[in-house]
Amino acid sequence: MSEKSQFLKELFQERRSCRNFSKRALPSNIVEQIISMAKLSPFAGGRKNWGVEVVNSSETISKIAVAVEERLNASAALMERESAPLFLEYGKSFLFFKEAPTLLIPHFRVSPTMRALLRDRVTEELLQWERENAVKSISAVTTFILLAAESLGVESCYMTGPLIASDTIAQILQLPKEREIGALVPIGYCK
Amino acid sequence: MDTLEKLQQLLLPILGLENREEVKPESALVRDLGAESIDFVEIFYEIENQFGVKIKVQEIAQSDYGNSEGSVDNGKISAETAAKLNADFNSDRFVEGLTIRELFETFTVRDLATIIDRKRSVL
Repeated sequence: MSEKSQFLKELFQERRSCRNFSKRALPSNIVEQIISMAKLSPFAGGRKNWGVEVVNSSETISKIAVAVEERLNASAALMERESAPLFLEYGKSFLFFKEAPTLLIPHFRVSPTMRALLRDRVTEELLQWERENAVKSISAVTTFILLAAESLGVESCYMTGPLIASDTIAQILQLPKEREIGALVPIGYCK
Repeated sequence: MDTLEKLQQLLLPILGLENREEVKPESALVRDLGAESIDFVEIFYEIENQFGVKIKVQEIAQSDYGNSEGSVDNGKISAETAAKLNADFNSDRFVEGLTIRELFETFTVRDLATIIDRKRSVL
């Protein structure tokens, strides 16, 4: 195994999902370093169709946590009485991010290229394929974020559970209407 | 909102930009703003939806100007073609010897707005 492979293997092995963040602040410019590394990620359709929103405000993080809790409760209210507590217990894992000092939120845009090319002849299958290209691509970006953070000594967690409230989170962040949230990645240090 | 302002707004999401100020009239779509060939599919689609005019890629590549005899020599535009482009796009940047590829890469936001206005005026 080459030195580079060995380094990568150790990076992969050492990376853990942090589920219990401390309030310890991140060093300055660490977020910029992580994002500059994540920009090297592949993405179908190119760099311009994705971005990363950085949330440092504890007030905004709390608002996002409230939105997720509300959506969890609303979903649980629709379930059978025996199932709801199980779901709410599982849903606690959707809130690991709320103590973290910073959230990185990768977002993407689905380019309507197939609709533009095919107009009313476009099929649902092609639209789904186009959307899935973007979803798969933002997963690559998110993985780059996790590995960049790990290489810089920062802990993280790849979260998609909170996206149960992605529409409300997008409103809180005032994302442009065509942008969708791909994941929520709290970064910081574990307790 | 005039054609140029509306076009700048239309280009923002397609080019992954946030502010209209980033889309300057003199910005080249390809060279300055990073548009790729496939992006023009969406740009033309939105122009058709919002302005009601159809644009072909040949007009952006300005290869339409290379179709008459003597207008292009060895892939480069003649002095007459450069003069016609300057007149049509109210510019002085077109010079003899530019390649069709260079024309495409240096096509500006204002040039696109000029084509839209010209097409709308004959609707």
